[in-house]
Amino acid sequence: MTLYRSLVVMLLLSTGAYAGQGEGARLFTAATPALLDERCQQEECMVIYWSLDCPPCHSELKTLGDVLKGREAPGMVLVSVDGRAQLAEIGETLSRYRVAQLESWITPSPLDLPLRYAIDPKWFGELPNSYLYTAGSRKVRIVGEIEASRLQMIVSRFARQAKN
Amino acid sequence: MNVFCHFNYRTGLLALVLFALVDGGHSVRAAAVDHSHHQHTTSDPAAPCTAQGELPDLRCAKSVTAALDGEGGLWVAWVSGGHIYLQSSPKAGSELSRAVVVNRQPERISAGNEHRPKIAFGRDGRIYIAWTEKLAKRFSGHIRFAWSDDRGASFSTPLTVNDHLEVTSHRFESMVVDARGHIHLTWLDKRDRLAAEIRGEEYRGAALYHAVSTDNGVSFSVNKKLADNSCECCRIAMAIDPQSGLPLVVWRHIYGDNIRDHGLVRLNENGEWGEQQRLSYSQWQTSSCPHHGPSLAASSEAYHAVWFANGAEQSGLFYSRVDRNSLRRLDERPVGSAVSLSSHPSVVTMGERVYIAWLSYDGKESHVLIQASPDGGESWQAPATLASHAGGTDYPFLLSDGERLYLSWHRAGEPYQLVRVTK
Repeated sequence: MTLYRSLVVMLLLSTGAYAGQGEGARLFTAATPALLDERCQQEECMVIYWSLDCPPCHSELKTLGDVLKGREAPGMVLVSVDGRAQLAEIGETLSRYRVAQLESWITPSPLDLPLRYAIDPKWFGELPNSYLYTAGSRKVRIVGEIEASRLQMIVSRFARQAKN
Repeated sequence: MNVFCHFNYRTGLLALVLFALVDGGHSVRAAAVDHSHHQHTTSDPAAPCTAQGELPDLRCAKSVTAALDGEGGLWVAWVSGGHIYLQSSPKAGSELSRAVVVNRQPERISAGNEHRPKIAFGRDGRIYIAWTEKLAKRFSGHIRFAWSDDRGASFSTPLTVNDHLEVTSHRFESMVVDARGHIHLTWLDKRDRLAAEIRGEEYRGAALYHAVSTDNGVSFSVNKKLADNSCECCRIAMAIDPQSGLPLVVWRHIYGDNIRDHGLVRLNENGEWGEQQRLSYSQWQTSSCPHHGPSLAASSEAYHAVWFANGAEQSGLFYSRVDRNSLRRLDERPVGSAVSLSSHPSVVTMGERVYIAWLSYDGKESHVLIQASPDGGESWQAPATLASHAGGTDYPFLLSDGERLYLSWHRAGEPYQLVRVTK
């Protein structure tokens, strides 16, 4: 956990966090995917890229909120790709779906090709787009909305991991 | 302002080569990539899109729509601060006019990627603009329309085309004008989904709707549903069949168990819309938003569509050629390379010549590549790079006035770029 905390502090210092609506959201830059990759080598986690403009993203966030019921979910990371100009609506959306307690990032501007390529050179931009990092450093891409049962399973596993 | 932008020698040469390949019998001497360069003027050229209170600037637009009228004039529409601005030049590549505001009352206008205003031309120099007005609720909107009968000097008070006015999605409009001068609009519409939800029923995706104006845009018909269960966030493609002079439509549809392939439907000469045909069989099953709609063009004997899929069997861009008489699929082939993220295609026809342009990325630069067929899509030349840019860009669009071919490619913060590809 020491490494994790150090990385979080480093990320906060390097990117700055936003206050107000979307409080705690950090700026996601081209360097962030590598930092998340490195962190997720140490502990299982899931990074979900989502957008305000994507109906299944809203559906998935609602499902995630229903699964969590306001609980923390260590290892669950949300990245909005709408840009900081949308910060207020992003914050309102996260609160509405009861996922504002999760670690959250925003891209500086609407996701463009260079940043998308830095995240995943095989990603054409479909949303939601998620990466599940599991034991043994496996990174599995999940395109599209994730079913409630699978989200429940992932959240439960992360919770067990956090206790250990 | 000259809207042709500067190109390096390599890029210009590739455009010349492409021209030589396609128009092999003609002299390449006259083939033109104009090397003249002109910056769009602004009070702060170094940072045109950051200053508070700045005047609207084409460079700062998220997306740009360009169209050529029947006389070779260029028209450019873009959105800033709740207004659509329209600029023109009587000859593509020459100085753009001062911007005219299309909608005098500001609206929340959809702009960016799959969303942008549309431009079409009617008889007697009429100009038509269509767009989506965003409403307060997420994913809701109205299809809006305005016309000009004084060559764009002024525009009519906008009207709403969708006759269902509840706050739900009427978005992703597409517009063409047929040979009779009738204006056809199609869009993605969730009125049926809303009704199903009220009944407690499930409705997948959206629906494809159509309206037509036979009075130069003064009014539009009762809306007609063309298809249930369209994908809900991909642009629609329309074209005019050169034989019938009537419109056809291609869109991403939801087939079976969330299979996201493409449908085609056309207006027949009896005035009825034909049955929906399935255009693609990628079998891409996804619950995602692709945000990646098709492009469509028509030649005398065939329809030409380029579309994206990302399934296990087909991933990347694909070209489909459809016989215009039988609607039988004649050919299907990959376009570009999935490795270089080939995406957001644009297809046009010039007689029997077919051109496809698309965006790609190599990890350092975005490129627009172009591929040409001299024989109605039966055979294809090798792709060539037409333009490059370090950083993010808008989608590429091919424009043709029937004689010359151009690439319209907007890069946020940069001067608008129009590349002349053929003589």
